[in-house]
Amino acid sequence: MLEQFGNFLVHGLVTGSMYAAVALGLTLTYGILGILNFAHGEMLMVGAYIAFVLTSRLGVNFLVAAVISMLAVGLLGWVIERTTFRFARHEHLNGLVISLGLVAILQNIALAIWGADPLSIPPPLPRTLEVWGIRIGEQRLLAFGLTVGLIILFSLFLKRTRLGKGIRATAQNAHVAATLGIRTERVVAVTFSLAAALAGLVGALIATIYTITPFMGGLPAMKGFVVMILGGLGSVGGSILAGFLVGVVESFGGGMISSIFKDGFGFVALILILIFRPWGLFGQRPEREDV
Amino acid sequence: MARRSWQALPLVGLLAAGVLYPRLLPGDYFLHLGIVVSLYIILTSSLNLIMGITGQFAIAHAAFYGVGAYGSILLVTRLGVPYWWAWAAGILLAGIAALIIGASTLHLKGAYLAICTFAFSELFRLLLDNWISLTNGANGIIIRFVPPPIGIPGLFRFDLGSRRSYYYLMFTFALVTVWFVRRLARSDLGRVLGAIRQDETLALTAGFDTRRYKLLAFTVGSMYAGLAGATYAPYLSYIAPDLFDVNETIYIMMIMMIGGIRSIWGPVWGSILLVSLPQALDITPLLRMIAYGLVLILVMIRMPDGLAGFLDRLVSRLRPGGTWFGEKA
Repeated sequence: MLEQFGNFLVHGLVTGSMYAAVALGLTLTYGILGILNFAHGEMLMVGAYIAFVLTSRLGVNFLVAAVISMLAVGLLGWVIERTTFRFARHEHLNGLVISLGLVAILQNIALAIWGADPLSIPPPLPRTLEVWGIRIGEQRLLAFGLTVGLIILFSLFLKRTRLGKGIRATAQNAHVAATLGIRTERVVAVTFSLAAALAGLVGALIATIYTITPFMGGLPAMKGFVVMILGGLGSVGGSILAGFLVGVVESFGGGMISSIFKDGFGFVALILILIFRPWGLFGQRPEREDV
Repeated sequence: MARRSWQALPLVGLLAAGVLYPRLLPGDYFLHLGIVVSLYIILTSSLNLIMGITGQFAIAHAAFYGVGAYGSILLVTRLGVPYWWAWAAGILLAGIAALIIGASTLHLKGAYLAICTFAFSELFRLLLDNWISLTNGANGIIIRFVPPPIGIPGLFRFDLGSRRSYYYLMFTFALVTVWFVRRLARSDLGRVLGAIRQDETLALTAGFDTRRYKLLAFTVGSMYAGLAGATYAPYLSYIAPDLFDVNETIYIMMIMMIGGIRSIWGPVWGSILLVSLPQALDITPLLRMIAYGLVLILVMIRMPDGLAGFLDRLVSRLRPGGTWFGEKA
C-alpha cells in the first residue's frame, strides 16, 4: 500500500514537472501578450522532432540534441512573435485565432515532413530503478531533473536579472514599464522566445518517454492552460506548484479511482478550486469583489 | 415607418439568398454545403450572443451543441420518445446544463472563465467517451431513423426524407437565429448585455443584476447550440463524442472571429467563407491546411474586425457612416 502510494506520488511529480514547465511558458506569454497561445503545444512538437532528427538520424548525443532543440525552438518563437503576435497584442480573441492558424501550419508542415506515424527517441538511460519498492525509469528521473533544474534557473532569472525584472514589469503594466525606460518591444519578443525555448526542451524530453506525432502538442497545451489558471494568472510560483499538484492529483486519481478518467481529475480540481478562489491559488486577488 | 421597413431589408436579403441558393447551385453536394453553412450560422450567431455581445469568454459551446444532439437522439433510441418531442427536450436539456454550468462559472472573468468552461466541456466529452452502456463510448451512435415530417398544415411542410427539405429546415433555423440575435441585440435587454461587456461594475451600479443577465444570455445562447445539435444529428446520421469536444468550440469561435465578432452578419459571412474555403482550395489536403492557417493569420492581422468589419470599411469610403455588411451590435 505504502509502496503504491510512493509510486503514484513519484510518477505524479515527474508528469507534474512537465506540466509546470509548459504552464510557466504559457503564463509568461499570457502575462506579456494577453493571449492564450494554443500554438504553445506545437513548440513542444517541433522540439521533439528536432531532437529526433539530431539523435536518430545524425547520431548526436541526446543532451546536446536537447539543448539544440531548445535553442532552435527559441529562435522559432522569436520569428513567430515578430511576424504574427506583435500585431494582435492584448487583442485576446484575435491572438487566439492567430495561434490556431499557427497550429494548423506547424502541424501540417510536420505531417508533410515526417508523416503521421508515431516516432520515438530510444531513451539514453533505458534502465529502471527500484528504491524502497518505488519503480521508476532512469529516463523519467533525468527528464524530471532537467525540467526542475530549468524551472529553478528560469525563476531565478525572472527574480534576479535585469531582463527578468523587465519582463515582470512589462507583464504588470506595459505602459508604465515603457515610461520607465524598459524596451518593452524587445522584452515581449524575448519573453515569447524564452517560453518557446522552454517548451522546445520539454518536447525533446517528452520524446524519450512518449511517442512523437504531429499532434502530440495538443494535450500538454490544454493541461498547461488548466495549470496556469489553477496557479493563478501572473504567478510564476503558482504555475509551478499547480503543475506538480495537477500531476499528482491525476496520478492518484488515475491509479486509485479510475484510469480512463485520469485526465478528468485535473479538470475537477480546477473547477472546485475556482469556486472558492476565483483568482486561482496564487493569482492576484482583485482589489474589490466586482460581483 | 419607412425606416422600419428598411431595417428588415438585410433579413429579406438573407431569406432570398437562402431560397434561391438551391436553384442557382443545384445538386446534393451544394445542398449539403448549404446545410453545413446553416448549421454554423446557428452555432456562431448564438456564440456571438454570449461572447460577442455579452462579452463572456466561455468556451463550452460545442458541449451544449452535443447535449442537444446526444440528448434528443438518446431519448429517441433508448426511450422511444417521438423525435420532435425529443428534439424539444434536447434543447431544454442544453438550457438546463447551461444554467448549472453558468451559475457556477459566470462569476469568473476572462481567461479564468475560458479555462473553467473548457474544463466542463472536457468533462462532458470524457463522460460521453466512458459511459459506454449509455452512449456507446467513442464509437458513437449510428442514427437509423428519419425524422417524421413537420409543418403547419396548409402552410408549409418539411418532409425530412429529402436533402432539399432538410436544407430548408436548417436554413429556416439559421434565419430565425440571426433574426433573434439581431432583435435581442437592439432591444433594451441587448443594451444591458452590451453594458455588461463594456463595464460590468458600472452596469451593476446602474442597478442591473448583472449575474442574472449574464446567465440569461449564456442559457439562451446555449439553447440555440442545443437546437443546432438536435436538428443536425439525424441528418448527419452519426454522432460521436469528438464531434462535440473543445476543438469544435474553437472552430466555431474561429468562424465567428473571421466573420466579425459582435457583428450581426459576421457569423453569416464567416460560415459561408470557412465552410466553402476548404472546398474551393482544390489542392492536396496538407497544403490546403497550411493555406488555411495562413488565411486565418492574415485575416486576423489585416482585418481585426473580421470580414464584416472589412466590408463595412470599404462601404464607408463610398458612403460615410453606412454599415451595410456588419451591423455592429
